[in-house]
Amino acid sequence: MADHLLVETVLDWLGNWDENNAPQPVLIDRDDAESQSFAGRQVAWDLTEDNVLSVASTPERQTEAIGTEYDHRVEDAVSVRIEAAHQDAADFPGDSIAAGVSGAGAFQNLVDEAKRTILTERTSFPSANGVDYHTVLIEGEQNLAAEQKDYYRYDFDVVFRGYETLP
Amino acid sequence: MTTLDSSFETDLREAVLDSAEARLRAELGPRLVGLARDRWEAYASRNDYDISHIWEDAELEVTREPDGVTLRVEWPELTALFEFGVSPHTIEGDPVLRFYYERIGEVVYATSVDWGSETGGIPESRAIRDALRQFRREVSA
Repeated sequence: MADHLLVETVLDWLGNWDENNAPQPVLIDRDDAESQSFAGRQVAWDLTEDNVLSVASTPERQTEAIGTEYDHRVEDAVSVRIEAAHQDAADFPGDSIAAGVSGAGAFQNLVDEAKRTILTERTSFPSANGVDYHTVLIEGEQNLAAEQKDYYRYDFDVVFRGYETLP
Repeated sequence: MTTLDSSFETDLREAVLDSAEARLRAELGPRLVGLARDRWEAYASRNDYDISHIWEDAELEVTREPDGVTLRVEWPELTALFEFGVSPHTIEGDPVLRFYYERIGEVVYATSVDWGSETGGIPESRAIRDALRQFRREVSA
């Protein structure tokens, strides 16, 4: 598990979303959403009401000892998932839903804007609980929309590399 | 004085590729499969899933090309559902769904089913992606 602060950092960054490029999706902190405690938390979102971008700290932290004393080289990541429904995914043919995307092109705009918004902050050098990150990059992009008719999904990891100074 | 055989560059390339191929087959390939397997087993026991076929049926394939060696691991069909997880969704019939519902012991007909409304869907395991990240670090170290 990566540090939860990184999830909040990425969600903060996504607050700078530019509506001119793509409509802003609902931002969900999936660390809380996928927990067992349902009380008062958003566990699922109806994609017919809004597109969803959710962030979780599920990727493992990778650490490596460096130096003689020693300190840690750390690689953290958070997983970003973008989901949307096709706007024709209504119960009856001809109806359309409140939100959604008009097709692969519109969904691509959503993904591109998410990546752009995150990468704009790549040089802000975040730190979390004693780890200073020097590199932020996007890895492991997967478009999982291929087998679906009405459901679009895109996953990628935001990788944070840095050093942890041990006490 | 030593005279180099005119084919020495080709021989050298072949020798390097031979050793890379042997190492991928005997050492690195099984290591990657093992890293993923550890994570799959932890994930399956955490969620009480009966998915041992995923790690048992993982297939390792090393292919030799003229200028490189490729390692390819293939996990069985539908592994991606567990790797990436599935959000709860509605399944609609065309026009009806018919299935055996174990809890009440009856065959049920329905026009739509809210799949995952009780379990919250399938959580993502990330077994393969995390194994790849660790593998990459080990190989490049």
